[in-house]
Amino acid sequence: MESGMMNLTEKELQLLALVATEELAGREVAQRFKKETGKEISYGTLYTTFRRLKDEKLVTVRDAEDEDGRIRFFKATASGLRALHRTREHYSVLARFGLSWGGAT
Amino acid sequence: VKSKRNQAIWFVLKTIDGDPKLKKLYNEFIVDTTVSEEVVRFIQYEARLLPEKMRCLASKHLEAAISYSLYSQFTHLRSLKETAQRTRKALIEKEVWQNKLLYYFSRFCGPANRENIQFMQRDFILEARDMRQAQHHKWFMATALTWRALFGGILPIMSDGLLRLIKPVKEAKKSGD
Repeated sequence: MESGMMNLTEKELQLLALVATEELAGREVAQRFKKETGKEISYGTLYTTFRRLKDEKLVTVRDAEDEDGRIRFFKATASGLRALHRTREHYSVLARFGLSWGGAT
Repeated sequence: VKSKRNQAIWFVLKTIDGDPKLKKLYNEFIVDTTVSEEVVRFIQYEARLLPEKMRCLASKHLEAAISYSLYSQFTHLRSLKETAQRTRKALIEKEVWQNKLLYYFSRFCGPANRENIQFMQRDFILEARDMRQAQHHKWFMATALTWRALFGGILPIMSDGLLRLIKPVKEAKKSGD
């Protein structure tokens, strides 16, 4: 198993996938997360998860400010995209595993 | 008549152009969509008054009189704009008092979490605005925002901090095994 994949939690992967193609602000990510999964994500969880991803250099951040306060935008880096791609491959292999031996239930 | 009015407007605009202070205020307000209409109305009003002023004043005093009149209107507009901004900010702070809770909590956090809390505070302001637009009751808003601030803001940050604390211990234990 390659590094940069299994260390990531489910939530980290979901958030990484959301910012894979475009740069999004925290609130936009929370809204898209709800749209995609049907579940709410708290801002505390969102920002601390992105902080971990940033520490691992899987996302880049850009700060801005408007009249309501500070905004942080997130975007996946090249290594973030690679980690996402590897994880997807891993899960697709795992999903197929054992099917040829009648392992499907 | 139209050409006379255009000439008057042109004269007022030329007066604004000739006064650096006035020009600065005009440039600031004309791009601001909240007050630009008001500025255009001031100019049109001055243009309408121009024939009267021309009759009463000597030509050398005309530009000064227009400048003075516009300058006083523009500064009044600025003070109104600032008061509106202050009121709006105070209203937001009063409504989203949960942000104060987050602020006091942030004083016990490190710089990274303090920053995260600042981003969260903006998100709460927008949430409150959305709820207000959806005409939710103020008690519902207060409960929802307090819940989110406590269990969606403070608790995840504390648990993340705790996880960061025990992470090296877990890794050391793993390598020891």
